[in-house]
Amino acid sequence: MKHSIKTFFIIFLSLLFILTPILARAQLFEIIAGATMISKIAQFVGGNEDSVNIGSAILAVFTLTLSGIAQGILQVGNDLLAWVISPDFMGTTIQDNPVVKMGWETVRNLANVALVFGLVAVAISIILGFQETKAKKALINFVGIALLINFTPVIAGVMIDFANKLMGLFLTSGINYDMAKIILEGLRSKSFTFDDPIFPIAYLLFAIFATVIYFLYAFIFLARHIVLWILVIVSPIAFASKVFPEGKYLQKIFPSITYWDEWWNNFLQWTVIGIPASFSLYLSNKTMATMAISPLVSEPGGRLVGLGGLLGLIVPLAFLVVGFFITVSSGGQIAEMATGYGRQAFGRLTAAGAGFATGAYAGAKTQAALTKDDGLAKRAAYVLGGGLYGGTKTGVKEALTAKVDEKSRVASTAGLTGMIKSPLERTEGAKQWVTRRKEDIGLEKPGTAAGMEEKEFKQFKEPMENLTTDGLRRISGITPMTREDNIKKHMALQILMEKKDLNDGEIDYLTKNIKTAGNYGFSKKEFAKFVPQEAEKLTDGKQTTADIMSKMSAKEKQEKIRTDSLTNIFVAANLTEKDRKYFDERGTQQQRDALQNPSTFDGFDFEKHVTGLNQRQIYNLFKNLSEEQKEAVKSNKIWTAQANAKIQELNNLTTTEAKNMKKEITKKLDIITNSIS
Amino acid sequence: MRKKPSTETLNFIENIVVRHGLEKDLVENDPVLEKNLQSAESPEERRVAKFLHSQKIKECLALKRPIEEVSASVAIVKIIEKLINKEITFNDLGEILKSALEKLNIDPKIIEEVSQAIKNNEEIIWDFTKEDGNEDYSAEENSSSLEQKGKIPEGISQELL
Repeated sequence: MKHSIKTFFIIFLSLLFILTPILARAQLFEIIAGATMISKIAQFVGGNEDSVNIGSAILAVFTLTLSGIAQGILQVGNDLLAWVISPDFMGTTIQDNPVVKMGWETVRNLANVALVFGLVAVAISIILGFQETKAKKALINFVGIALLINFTPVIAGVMIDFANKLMGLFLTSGINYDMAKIILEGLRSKSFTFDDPIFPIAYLLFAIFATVIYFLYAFIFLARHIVLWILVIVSPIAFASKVFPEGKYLQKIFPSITYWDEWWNNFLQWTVIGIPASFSLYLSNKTMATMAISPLVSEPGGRLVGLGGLLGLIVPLAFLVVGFFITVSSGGQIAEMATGYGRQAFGRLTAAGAGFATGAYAGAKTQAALTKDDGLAKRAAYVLGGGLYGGTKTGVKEALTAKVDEKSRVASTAGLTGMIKSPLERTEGAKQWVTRRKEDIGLEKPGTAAGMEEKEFKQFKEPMENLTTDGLRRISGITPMTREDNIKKHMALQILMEKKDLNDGEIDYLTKNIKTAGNYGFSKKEFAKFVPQEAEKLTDGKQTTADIMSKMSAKEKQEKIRTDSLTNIFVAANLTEKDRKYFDERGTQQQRDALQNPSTFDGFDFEKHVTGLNQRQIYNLFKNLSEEQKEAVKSNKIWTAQANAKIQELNNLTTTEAKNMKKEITKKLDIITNSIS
Repeated sequence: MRKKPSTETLNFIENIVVRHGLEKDLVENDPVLEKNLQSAESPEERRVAKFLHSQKIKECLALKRPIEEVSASVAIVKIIEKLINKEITFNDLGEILKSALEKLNIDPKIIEEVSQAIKNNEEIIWDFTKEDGNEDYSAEENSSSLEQKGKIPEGISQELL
């Protein structure tokens, strides 16, 4: 705990130190200057300067700092993107770029050497008559390539310029600063107060979101410049590789972008990648400009003043996010990296948001309990402070530890790309809802909606059935963001269960979230058979282990019960003689070992096990003990002491009930002692 | 699957032990055990009382020695178990009983009587001949259990077998 607080403050102070110069315009400077500190805090508290206390002061500094940092990094992101997309960013054309020129000349000379070798090889082939036709064709290629090699910057330059011109059409007006302005204005004007905590939080979230978007776009445009430089530099080698006949070793000599096909693939992708990105920025700008004239959403009155402007920002932000994912979907390895960053960013933001909410609630609750005897103002300050601290701590922890699947193509959705695809899924969900309502009023046959749902789950499950355990585990480990993700996750878990490959963590998750899992196609019934010792938890106490197992045949028990579950006393107690015989004859060695495992009796307890099981179950449990299991029971002195105490207690009672209970316990103990003697 | 002697057989053995005083050494110098045995109302209670209270049996458990070294009833039960699992025959029964009970300082005449009683006992003959254990505990079933009596549903392959 102390270590995490220390770490948190070190990071906090470091950020402060680094960002203070950038935050020169931010409120933080005012706080440090101290000129308006007291009045800011008083404004926050909602009273006068006299009502400021330590709790409210700490809270005010914390929230104003956070706001200041958000403003600073939003400004940086905005300015960075504006700079990267400006026509002056890389002033020269690619042909005139001195770095490209120098690199290209070196590579061209190497390519010429390669061509000389190629020419010699062709000549020898023709002289010797070895694959002469091929060699003559190669000669024609050779002549063409030898000419083109000297013009690759021109060819590439023409195509890049064409794309740049198109991008320029969309980016004539640069970045529209209105969105950042609205957010910054909101952060500055809407300080945290007791009366109005929602708006500052909303602006903060928008600021973080917008910043992430701006940085990602800036990365794309910057990467495009660098990648195109590299591609033009290596273009002579790539062209030279066309001279040589195709073969499996050719790509070893000319790897990756030095090979003709790869080069063209990457070049075309990176040339055009800027076009959809620019178009997204253009759409976003246009939306902002339109909103300035006629707002998309009307401004509400009363305490919600300002919310209209904030909600209106959702549309341009959405264009940017969707545009980003469309842009990177075709961009090759670096774009995959960008996609990964994007998914990580959104996945972690989501996790941070959820973590903030749970942490804030826990923190506020703790502070409320600790300050219950204090005055209202002080209590409120501590509650809010505790909430913010708890929320930030949990949010940061969740963001850092969230598992976001960057690379999966099967679980393809994360963030808004999924939202684009998910109207179909949503439509499916809506259809099922409507069908259920129709069933309720008798317009549809009962079970129709359930059938539709079954079909939908099957569609997701079937393609995954041939995946390896690792592949399934990757899918089941994602943080789901849409209904599709949830169904895939739980279908993957279903398949793992059918393969008896669920690990302890997954079983724990399913036990705690069985209702949610059931909503996404995971079979609760089969899970109860898989881990029958959890029957009561899974069925809210409606069914016991005995109930579940009594409905299973010996074959089902052998096929479906998890091997580790066989070492559970309640499970072992519900295996009849017939079941054990089946396990002996048809079970795996692991199952037979589990049934003979002495650890089953490590926690053997009189109250829990002897009282909790009936005579038949005790008989089942103790009938065929291995020698090690007998020793385990014999050496456990606790249960014998408990048995002794219970019998003594019953001896002192004279009621019929006590006598009957003693009789029953004696019979059970008789079975046990006979088995282990 | 190893057959176990039925409750009736175990009760029969316990009654023989009591009738012939085969466990005097076990009870000697063990007032707690003696007191619990006196208040026992059934053979089950006696067996349970011996396991829970006998000092000698506790010593055997602690030292991981066989309990039949100190308890005649356990020694006889083990021999019966071998008999019903056909590891020994009725003809061998006398000799094996003699060798086991002599170690417990029991009079050879008494051993002979015990051996004869066992051979003539119908329960033991029934245990010897019956199929695998079908102890009926249905009367004391847990009220929350929905365990079905009779045939447990089987898969097709089991039925074909």
